[in-house]
Amino acid sequence: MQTEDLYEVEDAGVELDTENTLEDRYLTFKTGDEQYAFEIEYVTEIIGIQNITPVPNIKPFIKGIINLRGIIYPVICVRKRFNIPEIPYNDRTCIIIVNVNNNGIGLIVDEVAEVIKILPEQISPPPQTNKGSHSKFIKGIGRVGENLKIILDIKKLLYDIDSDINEKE
Amino acid sequence: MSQMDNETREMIMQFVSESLDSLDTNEPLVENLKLEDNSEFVNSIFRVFHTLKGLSGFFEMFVINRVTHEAETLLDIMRKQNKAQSEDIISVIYSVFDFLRELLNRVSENLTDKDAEAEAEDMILIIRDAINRVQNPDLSEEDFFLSDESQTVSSEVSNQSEEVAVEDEDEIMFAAQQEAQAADGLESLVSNELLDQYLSSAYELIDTAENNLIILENEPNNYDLIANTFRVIHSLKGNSGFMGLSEIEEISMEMESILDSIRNKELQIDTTIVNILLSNIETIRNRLNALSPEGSKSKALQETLAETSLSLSNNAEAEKINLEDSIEETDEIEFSNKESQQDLSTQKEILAQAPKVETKKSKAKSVKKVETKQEEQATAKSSPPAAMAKKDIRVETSKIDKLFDLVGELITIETMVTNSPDLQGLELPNFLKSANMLNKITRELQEVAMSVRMMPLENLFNKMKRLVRDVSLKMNKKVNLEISGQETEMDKNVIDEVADPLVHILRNAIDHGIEPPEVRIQKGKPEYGSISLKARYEGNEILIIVKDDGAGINRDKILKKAEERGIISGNTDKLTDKEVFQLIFEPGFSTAEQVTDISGRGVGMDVVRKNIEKLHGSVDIESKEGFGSTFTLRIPLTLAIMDAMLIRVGQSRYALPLLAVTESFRVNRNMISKTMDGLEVCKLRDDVLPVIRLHELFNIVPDSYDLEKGIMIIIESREKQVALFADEIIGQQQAVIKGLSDYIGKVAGITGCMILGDGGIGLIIDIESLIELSEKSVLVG
Repeated sequence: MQTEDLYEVEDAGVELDTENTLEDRYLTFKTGDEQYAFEIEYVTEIIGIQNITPVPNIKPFIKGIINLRGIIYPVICVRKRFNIPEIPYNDRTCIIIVNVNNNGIGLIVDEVAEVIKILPEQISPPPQTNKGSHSKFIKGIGRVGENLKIILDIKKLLYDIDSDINEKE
Repeated sequence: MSQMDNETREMIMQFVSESLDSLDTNEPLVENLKLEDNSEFVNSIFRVFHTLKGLSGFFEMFVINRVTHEAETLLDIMRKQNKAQSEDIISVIYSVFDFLRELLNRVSENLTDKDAEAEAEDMILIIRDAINRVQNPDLSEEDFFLSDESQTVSSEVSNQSEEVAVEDEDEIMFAAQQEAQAADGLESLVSNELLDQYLSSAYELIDTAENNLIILENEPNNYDLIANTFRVIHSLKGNSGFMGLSEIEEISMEMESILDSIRNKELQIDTTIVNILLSNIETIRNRLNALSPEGSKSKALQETLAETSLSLSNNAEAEKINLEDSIEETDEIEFSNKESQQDLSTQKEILAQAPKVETKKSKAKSVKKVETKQEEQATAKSSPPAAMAKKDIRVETSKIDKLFDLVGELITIETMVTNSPDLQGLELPNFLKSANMLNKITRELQEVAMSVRMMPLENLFNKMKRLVRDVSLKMNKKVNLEISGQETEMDKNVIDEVADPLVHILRNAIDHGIEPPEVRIQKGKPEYGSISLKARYEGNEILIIVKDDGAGINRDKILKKAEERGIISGNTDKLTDKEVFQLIFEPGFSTAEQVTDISGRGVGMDVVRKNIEKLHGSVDIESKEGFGSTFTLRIPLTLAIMDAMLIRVGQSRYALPLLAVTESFRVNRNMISKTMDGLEVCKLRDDVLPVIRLHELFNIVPDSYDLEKGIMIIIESREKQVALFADEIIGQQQAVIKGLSDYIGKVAGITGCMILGDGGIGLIIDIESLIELSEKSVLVG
């Protein structure tokens, strides 16, 4: 099941700017009711959801591991991370493989949207209210036309500082 | 030096590269100085030194700055003279070029020229002498051997003719050097290949000599070994002479003469002499390192060893004095052996006649030089460390790493192809045949790839011999080190990582483990403590075991300290000894009453565990108070193919190391019972084995909870046997062991995963850890 759903950023119906620079470019995706975004430079690959092998006794939001062309990647469930109820996977569910701190990690999201440019002027700081437990992962709010995208801090998303996540390891 | 920012570093590298170019471009002009009309050439060479002087000053390379300043002066005088210059002066200028090149190369490695100060002094003397001769060409050369730094000369010694009496042995050394440097100029065309061969052989020779010396310290009358050591040093001297490496040749010559005296029974080997010879070897090694264009990644080890000697020499003021005293004694012994009753100063006069002098005093100097050198090296960034083993062909490690990775992937894909679900149930005899061959070849390829990076632990262990000797001397303990299994091979990268922890453990054993000789005798133990260092394979791991017969570890002391440090609290009775000992690895832990500077800082042991865990290994401690302790390092083999038995529990598949599986069977009701604590056990012939329900430990939904409906698999680890309950056995498979990502970290009971024939993943069970997990969960209830 793995190779058929493999596609690059282009094929996912994503708009790519013709410029080469990655600066100010964000990958946007949908999970739950919100649209989220984070810097495209972290993204290595986007694949369709595939079989995940669970690993016992690890953090609950780490769903398990996958085999991608012989390489093992851990995958986390973004819904679980945001503490919203999980839904069954469907044909739009994707895994975004990111590279952070030299580790390849997969993010399970409901749907991948597009790559867009968000200039610093369009970004406002995150709201102070503690609305929703994804607030600690928010870096800012991006205004794109009429839409608001929640810009995520990928590192915080993966390596939470509060809990006992493997920073020491 | 590592605080230097990238910009500065780049600028320095550019300075080096441009300066080297300038030297290369202008060197051909030097020989034209012998012409009458040489003003154009003098000017060019003057500018070379002048520019280099300026730039080096700007970059704070004060050694280069001083040397070029002197050279500039020399050229300035020549500029004013405007006449043909003699051959010797030209040779001097060639040697200045060579010297500057060497300095620049060192700068490109260390980003400083600081540790070249001593050699620079010699070079400066040479240049000054040349200046004198250029200004006063009529007077005899030898009169001006004396530099400004020369000490008071004994009145008994005359000033005329060739006799030169000097207090300062440097004079004699530099005279010899000057000669050699002239020869150097001609031989500077030594090829790289020749250098490689020389280095390869030289490292081997000094390693042999070093090992011999350590043995000889305890067997002073082993004349065969003495003769062998003499021959080894003799060869080194010869080779170095041929290569024009005058310094190494000099030192070898001094060592040779000492060894000769020992050989002729004029001198008896003792600790002092072994120390002297060992430091000479160290100096030679440093020289060789400076010559070798690349070092291995054993930097940590070299720095650790340098640290050891630094801490040894830092506290060794008293020892230094002792050393010199004993050298004085040795002086006298030697002279009286030679039946000369002359006093020391006249001796020097006689000795001084030969430019290449062999005296004990110069050995004192070289020992001092070595000590300062080691201090400097410990502070400045050290020069590239010696290669751990001979390399007969230089290959970039990145290429080998890539090869390694590809072989791993090949094995994975091969398995996927030959076990493809598309082929299930088909009769394919020809395909099977080919598949088997493919498998065989892939296996062999894997072995070869692994062996490329594998090296015997021998080198590392030999270095430990030296370490143990130095540390035990320093701590006033008597220790015998036995090594075995040094032929065991380990991945080179892993050896580099394991060196540091091993050093810490050994230091610890000598410092805290082995008791002082008096105490040992009191306890009825042999005066000499023994430490054994062993290596062997066990399954997919390599074991390195350090065992000492010292005082052992006091459990209560550890607990008390841990509580004090806040590392642990509450009811500690239930902790096993093993668990208590592991507390030693917690950061900030140390039970040394006074922090000795070698260990006991509370820093060493937690670094040990961290480093070993980085290698996905583990450290075990066993100890019996009064009898000794055993530290066992377990490190998995890197590219390991595992023969696994695949089992299924619910929807998950697991791999068990085939070696660990003894048997499997279906149970019936009367084989199962419960112990008083509620533990499920299974009766197997005469044994009663605990039952481990994987679905419980791993939170999976099995096909059935009924033990009779599944299968029992008996697995064994370190003499413990347990019965594992699974739904079914799928089969056997060979596959590459892959780690679970660092992001996931350590998982109890699992030591990695492997890719199965259909592309799925099987988690590899770590039996030892699984048993522990099961025992813990029973306690918790």
